[in-house]
Amino acid sequence: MGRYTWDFSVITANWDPLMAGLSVTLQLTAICAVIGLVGGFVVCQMVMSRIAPLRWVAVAFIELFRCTPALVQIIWIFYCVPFFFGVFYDPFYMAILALGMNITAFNAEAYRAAIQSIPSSHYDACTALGMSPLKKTIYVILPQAVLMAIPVLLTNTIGLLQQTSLVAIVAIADLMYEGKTLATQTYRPIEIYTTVAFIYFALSVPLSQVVGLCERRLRSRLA
Amino acid sequence: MSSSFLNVQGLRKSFGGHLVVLDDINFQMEAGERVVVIGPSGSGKSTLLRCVMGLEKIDHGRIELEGVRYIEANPKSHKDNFVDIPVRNKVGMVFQHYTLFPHLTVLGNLILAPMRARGESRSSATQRAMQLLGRLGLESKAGAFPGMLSGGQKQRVAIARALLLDPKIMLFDEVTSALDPELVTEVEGLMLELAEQKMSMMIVTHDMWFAKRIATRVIFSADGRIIEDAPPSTMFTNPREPRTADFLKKVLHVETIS
Ligand SMILES: Nc1ncnc2c1ncn2[C@@H]1O[C@H](COP(=O)(O)OP(=O)(O)OP(=O)(O)O)[C@@H](O)[C@H]1O
Ligand SMILES: [Mg+2]
Repeated sequence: MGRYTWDFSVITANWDPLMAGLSVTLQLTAICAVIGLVGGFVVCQMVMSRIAPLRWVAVAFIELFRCTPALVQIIWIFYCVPFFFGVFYDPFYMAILALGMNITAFNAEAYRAAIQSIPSSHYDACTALGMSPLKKTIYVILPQAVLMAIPVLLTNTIGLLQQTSLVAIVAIADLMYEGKTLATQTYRPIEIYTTVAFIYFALSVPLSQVVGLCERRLRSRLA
Repeated sequence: MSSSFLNVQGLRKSFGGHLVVLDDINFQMEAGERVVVIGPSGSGKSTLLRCVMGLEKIDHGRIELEGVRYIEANPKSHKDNFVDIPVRNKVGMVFQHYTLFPHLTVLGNLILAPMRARGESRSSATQRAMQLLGRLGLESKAGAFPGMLSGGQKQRVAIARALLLDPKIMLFDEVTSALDPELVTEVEGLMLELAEQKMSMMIVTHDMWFAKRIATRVIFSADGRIIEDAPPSTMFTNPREPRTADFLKKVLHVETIS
């Protein structure tokens, strides 16, 4: 390996576009995370519904998004939705659609696993306490499910943050896209990609620590 | 209509249509009685209590409390049972497995049903709950989460949670089976206290000595039927049915207890 002279001045010189890219990345992550938290619960309720067609739709949705690569989903939605449906929104919204549906599918599974891990004796206890099915869901099942799902939901959100980098491929000006552009312009890909990687890492590590903390606290709480 | 306090008539319960667990059970008890149900594993003791609590769909029969029918099988067997929920809510039950809700504190567990199912105000429910916890010596645990309690404390809180709803009858299904031996007495002690207060109870237990102590009546069930129904003095010293004697011999490793 030849001796490489690192020159990080390229980063300071191009700080503004990188931060603009980071802002897009964070916006995508935040919006899709919220979509996933709510959408995931809705899809999970559909999967566990008594109404068969609702179940079919939800299961098909989950399998579709779990069993194809996120990159393919983004590209497919980007090119095929305008083609089949004759609509074209701002690429940013198309990216939200793709990433939001992806995390919704994964979160739905997290909620389902959490709900199924609630022992059936809790359902019996609710009946014995005179709680109606609705009250039981609202006050006993839902809060336990959300608590138990938190570690997986957070892990999925960390994954989402990483996955937003895929939208660079469809020319959305996120952190990865700005990095790529700068790398070609400045001929300093090593410094730039290292910095980009470090930013993703620095954003994810605290979240990942929170997951560990949550898991420990939940384990002692829900023992 | 019958004048009995609890009246189970022609109760039949099967699982999946073929496994008949309770077969034409007829059983009456008066207020203040404490009926202990004993019998081999799988004889349907839990199922009987679960039917009385309205947790199982029954195939045939009806159950009345204080002369009011509150559960009745639908003649069309695929249809749900008739259930009179306000009457059923006069029955309380505590289970073998811990059923305190782990996301709520002890106090939160106690006031959940009074507030959400009965519409009691938070302040009034809290006041009653704290009073009861005080009587049980568990005041200091009001803010604790169930995961921080011992098994014995969990079961006593579970009993308190049921008591706050002012049940007419309490059902106990092996509430000490999951406990370490040294924690059993505190739970049994609480049940004996309730006995002193003339609470009507149905109790399933494997502990024959406790059964003898708390029961006013003992029922031996096997193969989905009530084989023998007698006061504890007779049941444990001079059972009428050979099957009862056999069972007692097996679980006690002695002929009788006195
Ligand atoms: N939900 C269920 N589905 C199918 N079979 C069941 C179900 N619940 C109980 N059974 C069966 O019904 C029979 C009676 O069960 P039950 O739990 O009432 O017995 P038990 O007398 O309480 O036994 P144990 O002393 O072991 O608690 C058993 O054969 C059991 O396998
Ligand atoms: Mg049992």
